[in-house]
Amino acid sequence: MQGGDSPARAVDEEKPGTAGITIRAATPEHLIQLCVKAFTEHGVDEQQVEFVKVFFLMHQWFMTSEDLAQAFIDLYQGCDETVTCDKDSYWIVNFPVHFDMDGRLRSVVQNLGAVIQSEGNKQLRELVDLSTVPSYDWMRNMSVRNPASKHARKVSLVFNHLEPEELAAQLTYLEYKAFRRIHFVDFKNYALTASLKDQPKLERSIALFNGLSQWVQCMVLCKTTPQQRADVITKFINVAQHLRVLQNFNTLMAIVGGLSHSALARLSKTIACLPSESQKLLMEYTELLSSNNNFSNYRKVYHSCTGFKIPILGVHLKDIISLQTALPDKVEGGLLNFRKMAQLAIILRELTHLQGHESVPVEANMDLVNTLRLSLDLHYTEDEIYELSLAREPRGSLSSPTTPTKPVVFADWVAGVSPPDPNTINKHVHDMVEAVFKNYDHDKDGFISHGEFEAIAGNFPFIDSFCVLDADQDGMISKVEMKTYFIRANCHALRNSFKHAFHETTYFRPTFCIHCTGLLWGLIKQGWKCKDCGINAHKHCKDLVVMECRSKGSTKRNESLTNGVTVHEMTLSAKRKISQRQKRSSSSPSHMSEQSTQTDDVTRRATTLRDAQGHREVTVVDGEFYEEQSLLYERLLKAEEAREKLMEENCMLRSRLDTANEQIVTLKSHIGVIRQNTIAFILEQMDALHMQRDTEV
Amino acid sequence: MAKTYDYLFKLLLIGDSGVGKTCLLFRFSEDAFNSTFISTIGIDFKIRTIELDGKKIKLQIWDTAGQERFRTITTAYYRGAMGIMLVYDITNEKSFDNIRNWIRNIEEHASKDVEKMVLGNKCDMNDRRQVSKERGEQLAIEHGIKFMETSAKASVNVDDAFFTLARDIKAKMDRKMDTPGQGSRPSGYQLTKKDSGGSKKSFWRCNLL
Repeated sequence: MQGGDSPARAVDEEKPGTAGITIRAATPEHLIQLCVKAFTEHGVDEQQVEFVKVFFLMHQWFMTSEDLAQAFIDLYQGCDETVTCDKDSYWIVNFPVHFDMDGRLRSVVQNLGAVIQSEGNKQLRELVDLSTVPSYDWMRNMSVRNPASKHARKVSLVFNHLEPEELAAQLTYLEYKAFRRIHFVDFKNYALTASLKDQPKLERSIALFNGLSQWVQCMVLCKTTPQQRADVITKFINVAQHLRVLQNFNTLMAIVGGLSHSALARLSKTIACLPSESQKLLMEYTELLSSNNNFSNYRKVYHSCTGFKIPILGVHLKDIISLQTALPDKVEGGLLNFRKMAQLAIILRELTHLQGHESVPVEANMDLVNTLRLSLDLHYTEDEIYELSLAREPRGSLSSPTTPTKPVVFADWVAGVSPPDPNTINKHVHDMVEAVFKNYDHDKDGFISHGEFEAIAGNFPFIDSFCVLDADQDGMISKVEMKTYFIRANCHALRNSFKHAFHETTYFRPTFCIHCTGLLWGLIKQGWKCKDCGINAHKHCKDLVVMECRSKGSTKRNESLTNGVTVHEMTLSAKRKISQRQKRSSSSPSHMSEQSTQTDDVTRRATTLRDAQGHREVTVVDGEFYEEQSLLYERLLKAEEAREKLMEENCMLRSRLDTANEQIVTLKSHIGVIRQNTIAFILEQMDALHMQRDTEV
Repeated sequence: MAKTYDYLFKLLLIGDSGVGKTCLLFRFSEDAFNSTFISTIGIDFKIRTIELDGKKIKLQIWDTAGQERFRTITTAYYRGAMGIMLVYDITNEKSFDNIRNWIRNIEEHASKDVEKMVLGNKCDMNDRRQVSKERGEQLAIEHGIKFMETSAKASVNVDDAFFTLARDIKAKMDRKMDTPGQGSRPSGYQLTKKDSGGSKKSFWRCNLL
């Protein structure tokens, strides 16, 4: 069929690629007319059902809904009234989301309603009534609190006690919430611009995906022994199993991707501890999600799944982008390529259909969701995670022992996904803390105790110890203390916490480099000091420092750090270095306290500092060695404490001795005086006696 | 069944979103492209068979379009890749800066001897250029890899780039076969006995372009 006017307004498909679509390309006006023609007195022409569906679904790809409605209204003037209203009615009933989300479209249709009303046609008026359109509030807002489940079951918020099934359900809830908010226009814009700018919903979904992968890695890596790590991995594999049952492929991909990431895959000792059953499952899931043949395994399984399912967003985005790039927008001299629309519609219809599932097979536990959500917000760079992995199980001693420590670049590269903004984080922190207190503050006094804290800390890899959180050191943590801590921790992660503000400094007492532990030589400007955290380093070492910058004066918390309260926080390599240093400089104990003050700041991540004499890298060996080391170190600490006490006592005694000596001296001088007086007196008496005798004689 | 090719190379296109990787791919394998989307297959990686030194080489090119931001998905592609095209957009400074990150990513996830090449795409848009050709060359020299500026839109250097990468992979493979001791056949990609008289160009192509 060729359009009547010249040039051609439409080209038909010779052999339709998509069932039910006969038109290949046309002008938008022609498409609208075709759509109008498809409506008869009895509803939609059966031949054209497919076309009409695609047309309404895809029209936002090439025109705004407002323009489309306007075009309908223009046609309404003077042509069959019922038919026009039928279309609008069809549109309203089948794509209510367009009407709720687009204010301008709404007003156009309301105008139409008013026109009809003025003509007094009630029946038609009802057809374009918008009052029945359901609300898509959840899609409009970034985050909407689900009013669901007021009588939440009591579940543990602690990772260790959390059932894999429960975890899978809550992750699915989070995932679905993020997924269903992504709008048609978001997909379109991403395909056209390949940028996440101004698409916070899509961005949030991707951030959730990446956050989950990282959380998985961190949860595994924060355990010290291979067996403990293997247990965490096993747990996540069990979670994956439940995700597969829930048909939540996106979260499954995030978890399996996290588990098979090189930071974990390289841990051969850990893998050896995995039960064979778990290994087999992991293999199975890796195979299912492999990119081979364009994810053919996944696609097959995905299409055989019915009911509620969450697709791997990345794979389907790739499909959309491939189509967008492969097929031209305009063909045959400026005609809209409708074949492209029909093909895109296959993907987009599927996605929008899945977003509309009302029956989500999981029950949300908001407390758990809030706790999880914050765990997933925490940001680490790939390097930090890899670094940690190397620290847990260093590379084989034979391989590349000579490579010097690479300067670690902590670029803010999350590949375009910016971390959540401070407001979101604050909100998440708030929700999480409330949830924690609701469940763990058993006596409802607004504080949690040490034990309660230990339980919750397991969810957040690398959280500081109780002492650090307990800012006023009263043995209890209040809500405010907890919130401040997490907000700080996050801000910390957001700005590059590894960048130090070094400036050249002259030291007036012997100071050591934090990186190589060597002395800072010279008379003036011996080294560089960080303004924020106060660590010192050589000029050539300052870029190699792998220690986090924890700003000093800003909070009390850090004072407690330097007071040595959290000595166990120190990295083991630092501990070892101290013990080395102690051996070396045991003759000058006055340096000791200073050194430990410096090294106290060391965080857990700084595990690959180099040895003092510029030997090879001190790579930390494995867990057992660690534990032995830390045991020895504790004993060393105790001995040192005892020695300090003795020294103090010694001083005291000495000063007492001194006073006693003084007293002796004064007493001695007293004695001298007395003696002289006595002698003088005796002599006087003798003289007197002599004189008496002389007179008597 | 008789094979229709002598070598099979798996290539991968990597780079930030929106630098035109998919465009490059479709430009290179236009003829082989079947535009119909089938949801159980998707639009697959593209295949194009080229001829080098009388040998038929089947290039299987993988694209990560739109998935760059899903980090664990992207790393799944590295497995088994023999050549990697690192693509940036000359009108987008950030995409150029990120090339270093991609290289680090490759070092971590891909096999050690993967052949790499840097492409500065969209060189038809000279008026909006943010990254000079010299900087691209400099980066390539730093990492010891080849460099070219391409335009998928204007079809500049697209074939050339893929041919160069394929030639380098083939040369590396031939070298490996020559060296005894490392003699284990490299993952069985070569299907016929090789002819070692092939040209091994390893000079800096970028200076010629």
